[in-house]
Amino acid sequence: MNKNAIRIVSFLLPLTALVAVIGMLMGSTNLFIIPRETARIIFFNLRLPRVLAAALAGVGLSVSGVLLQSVTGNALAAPNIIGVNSGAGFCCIVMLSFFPGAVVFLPLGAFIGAFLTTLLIVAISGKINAFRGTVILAGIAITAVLNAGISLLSLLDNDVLGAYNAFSVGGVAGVETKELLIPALIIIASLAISLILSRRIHMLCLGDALAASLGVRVRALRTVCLICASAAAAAVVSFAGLLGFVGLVVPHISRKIAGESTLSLLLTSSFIGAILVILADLFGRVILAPTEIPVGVIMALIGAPFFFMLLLQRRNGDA
Amino acid sequence: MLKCNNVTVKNILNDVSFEICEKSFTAIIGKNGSGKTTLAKCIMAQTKHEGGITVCGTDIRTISPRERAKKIAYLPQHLPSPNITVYELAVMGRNAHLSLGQKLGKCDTLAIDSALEKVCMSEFKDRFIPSLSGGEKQRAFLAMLLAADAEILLLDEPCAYMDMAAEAEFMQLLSMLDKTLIVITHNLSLAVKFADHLLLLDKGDRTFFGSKNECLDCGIIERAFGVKKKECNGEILFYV
Repeated sequence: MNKNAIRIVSFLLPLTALVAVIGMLMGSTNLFIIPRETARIIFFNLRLPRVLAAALAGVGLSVSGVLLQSVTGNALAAPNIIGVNSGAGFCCIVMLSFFPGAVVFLPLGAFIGAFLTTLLIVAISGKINAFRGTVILAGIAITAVLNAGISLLSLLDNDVLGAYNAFSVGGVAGVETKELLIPALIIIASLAISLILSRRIHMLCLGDALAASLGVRVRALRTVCLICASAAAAAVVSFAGLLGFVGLVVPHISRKIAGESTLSLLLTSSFIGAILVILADLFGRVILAPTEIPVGVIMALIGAPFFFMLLLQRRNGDA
Repeated sequence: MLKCNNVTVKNILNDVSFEICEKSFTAIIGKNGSGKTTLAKCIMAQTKHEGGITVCGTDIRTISPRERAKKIAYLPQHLPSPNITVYELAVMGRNAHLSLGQKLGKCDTLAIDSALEKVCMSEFKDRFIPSLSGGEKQRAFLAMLLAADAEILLLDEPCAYMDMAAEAEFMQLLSMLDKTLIVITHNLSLAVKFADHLLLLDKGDRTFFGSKNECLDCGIIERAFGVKKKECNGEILFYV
């Protein structure tokens, strides 16, 4: 690990731990004035899994965002463009429509739908042999088709529409610790693989011809990165629903702090993503307590203005 | 060192054959669309082709990308402007020598520093690529190629965006490197001045391959390009 990466971890790891502790101690109920046993139950059964889920969601979506922006060379790339959200949503709505009793399998369905959709986009892009830009175009096309399917099925049944809406907003309320085990393994594996490949991923900024001439297996690397990005994002969708903007916003914030090096970007984004989602969830819990605003709504409120700022910066840059 | 045997790409290259010796400087010249860049991409195994291309007796298609990168370093025609420093760019040149996850060792650092020094970019090492001039950027990428420590350097129109003085300076710099050089260029005068051998392509055919003197004596350049030759102060100049 280089010096910059060590500096990042030394600063952001304790900060993330601090934010996590604050997230567990704060909420609509003051833990310090209620009976100890009640406080213990709230802390371990409600807030701890919630904060863990938020941190994991932040890490997974941020890593996915960094990988996608690196392999597509597009600063506006995010997990939703590779069909993660629409694939998960479509699979869930099919399950809700045709197997309403299989609600317990929804997270698995979401993961499978998201992952398979991305694999389809990767396969299409590979066949067309113009990998970089085609991934985005294929993602947009397939997302459009799946969203049409979602709209059609939700129109046919209002109960399905209600259940789907809850999933589509995105949130970590009610998540149990045991549900996080497999997604955590997938997200950590994706991050680990990305860190090992980070130097070669960084070389993609030179373009395919130059990177290949320096010994990088460009297509294989892109495929591995897309699979890791998809797996991480799909794992998040399986427990947190369709959480938007994290994968888009966090890499840009991280770039301002850590620069362009992929290793530093991955590490910084993981921590910043965790901090952002924990804080967004905390804000949603306390601002209108006892009513909760789902973290997906908070992220959209933060993300949309940030997105406009990004567009304005790009426009000024072009001018 | 590098041998091309009947290299063919449909509608672009027709049975191109030649052999380049170690430590020689070969200029590939030809009109636009003659197949120069396609030939370069074939040598780098980035374009499918028929026929064989070997480096030191090994078919370039049978070796891994990393092994190929240790033998041939390539600079394409259009260079990106990544938001990285000159030093970081030079570090990328060492990729073929580093395993997955392996850190830079002492020999890697020495190779990088030496490469930057050879192209006079040591004082620019912390500058970002987008902030460099055209000539400085070209030298930064050349440092990356030198850091790769490959036996052969293949450069596709490295002087495309340079003024005349910078172009001559860059070619001078190249000629002083102790490497096997293959340079695609449109500047016939500089090609003749610095190269030992010339490869002339015309509509995908190998019209000429041989020493500079043979090329000048037979008048092939004048016929192929429709130009006239003039000697001035010991230098050969071509003009329309």
